[in-house]
This record gives sequence, structure tokens and C-alpha cells, in this order.
Amino acid sequence: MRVLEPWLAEPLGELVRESSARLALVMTSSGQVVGQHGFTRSLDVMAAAALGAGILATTGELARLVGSDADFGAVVHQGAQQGVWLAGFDTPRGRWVALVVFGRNSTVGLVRMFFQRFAARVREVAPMPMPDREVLAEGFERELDASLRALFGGG
Amino acid sequence: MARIDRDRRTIALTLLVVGARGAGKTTVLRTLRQRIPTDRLRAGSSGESDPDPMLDWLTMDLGRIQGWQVQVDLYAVGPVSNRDSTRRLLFNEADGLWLLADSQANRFDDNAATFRAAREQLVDREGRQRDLPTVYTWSKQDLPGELILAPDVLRDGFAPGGAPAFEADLVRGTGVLESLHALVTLTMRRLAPAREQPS
Repeated sequence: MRVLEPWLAEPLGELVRESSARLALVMTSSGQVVGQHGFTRSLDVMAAAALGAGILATTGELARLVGSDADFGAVVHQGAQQGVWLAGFDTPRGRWVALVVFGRNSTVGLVRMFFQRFAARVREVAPMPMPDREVLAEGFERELDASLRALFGGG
Repeated sequence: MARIDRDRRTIALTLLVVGARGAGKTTVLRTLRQRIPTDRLRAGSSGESDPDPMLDWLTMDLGRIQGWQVQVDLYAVGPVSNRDSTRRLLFNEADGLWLLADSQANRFDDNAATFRAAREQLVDREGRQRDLPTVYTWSKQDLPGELILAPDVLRDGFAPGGAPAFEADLVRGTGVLESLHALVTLTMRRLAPAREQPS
């Protein structure tokens, strides 16, 4: 398992363990990967994240088109050997997406239940983002100005 | 939104250069490539042999500002629409806008249409208009006076709200660095608690 921020390891680990997931991917709604379990190649992770975020955006658009007040919540593909659960959820960091691939030793209902617990747990433990306004301190412009002048050769 | 990694203390800004076909976007990036030391720069293009490629980009390393390593990704975005998804993604990510107007009088409508299209694409996921730091550059001010519009006329037409605007002679490269300097400063002010009065 790999996570971008350490606080995500515990809820993602529980989701994978309890739902018997083969693969799990957590990403922002624009497809930036936040954590993953089970993928061995980074190319697969990026492709899965882009496709997952795209599928959810598409179904959301479809929901709006058919007059649904909210989006469809989750997208489920159930195959003979394995299934895919794809759903969005709100966090203090914005809307995120989880993709869970599960085999015959699990069920959609089980994944749904542990996904809901996972989403709630993320909302509990995710630190609030620091406002961007606090990234730089007052007086940064003097340093920036010097840096730009050096970069542009005194221009 | 600026990409901020608080653990690694890095800030990456995405700035877009937008202009009508032939307004000088590629020349602006070429000027920057010539003026910025190669060890602080990476660059590329979607069509090296195309005089007006769909997408030119360069990445500049600004060095450390208050302990933050700052990088600027600058994309010159063409007006053509055959790569709308790329364009939409860049507009979603953009932190600042550099609007490049061709000063020739007969290009006024092209400039207006390009800037209008850019503003229409600057919306967030809920469809609300995004307000980005913006600077204007009036290119080709070195052409004979009878062919071009004066900076005051261009300002009244495109930047009546008082956004910074610079006259540029792209052949000599004047006005380019000044425009970029102003845009980077305006964009980074949004990461600080209060605007500092320049000394």
C-alpha cells in the first residue's frame, strides 16, 4: 500500500482488509492519486485514476442530463470473476473518488458497507487544509523580485 | 489552484499565455528561452516545425522564496479548438492569465474573440466564473503607427479595469520579462495574507 499522506493509511488499510479488496485506489476528482493498494506498476495507477475520475465525471453529467438532483453516487461493474466499485465522497480536502476491485470472495454489499465506513473515517481524520493565503508571509515580494531579476539576467 | 506541497515546501504555479493566432505567443516563449539560464528552464512544444503550434510550454525554476522552492509552468495556448480537453484542463488548473493582444488595428476583433473565449473557459466545477490575476501585453508595438492601435486604445478595449498592461516589441524582446514579472508577482500575492506595497 502507498499513500500520499500518512493519515490515510489506516482507513484505506481497513477498507482493503475488511472488504477483501484486490485493488483499491483513492484519488481526487481530477484524477490525482492520493493512495493505492495492490497496483504494481505506476503506469497502471495513473491510467486507472484517470479512467476512474473520468467515468465518475461522465456519470455525474449523465445524471444532470436526465434531471437527477444528485449524481448516481456509485458505479458498479459486476463481472463473473471480479467486480469494480467506483464512488465519490466528500472530504475536508474536496471531493475524492475511491475505486475498489474485488473478487468472488466479496460482494457489492460488503464493499458498499466498508466504503461508507471508509468515507466517514476519512472525514474524521483528514486534517483541514491550510488556507493558501497563509503559505507565504508578508514581505515575500522583495525576495521574489530579487529572484526574478536574477533569473531574467537583471531584466 | 497553485500546487502546494507543504512537506517538500514546493509551490508550482500554472500560468497561461493566451492570444489570437499570430499574436506572438511562440515568440514570447522563445524570448524567455533565450533570456533564462538553461539550468533553470525546461521547454517543449506540440509541434516544433509548426509556426503556430497548439501548445508551447516551459517550466522555470524561480529558486527559493521564503524557504519555498517555486516553479512556474507557462503554457502558450492556441485559439484552435481541436484539443478542447487539453485546453479545458489547462484552464481548470490555471493560476494566472497572460493575455497577449496583437496591436494591429485589423486584429482587434480576433483579439476580442480570443479573450472572450478564454474568460468563458475560466469557470470552476460548479460553473462559477473564476477571477484570476491577469496581465495584458500589447504586441507588435514596433510596427508603423498607421497599422497599430495605441496602448490607450487597447487598454480601453480590453483592460478597462486597470489590470497591468505592457507594450511589447517582440523582435527585441522588450515588454516580455516585465509582463511575466508582473504576472508572477500578482499570482503569488494570493498565497500571502496581505498585499505588500512595493517599495
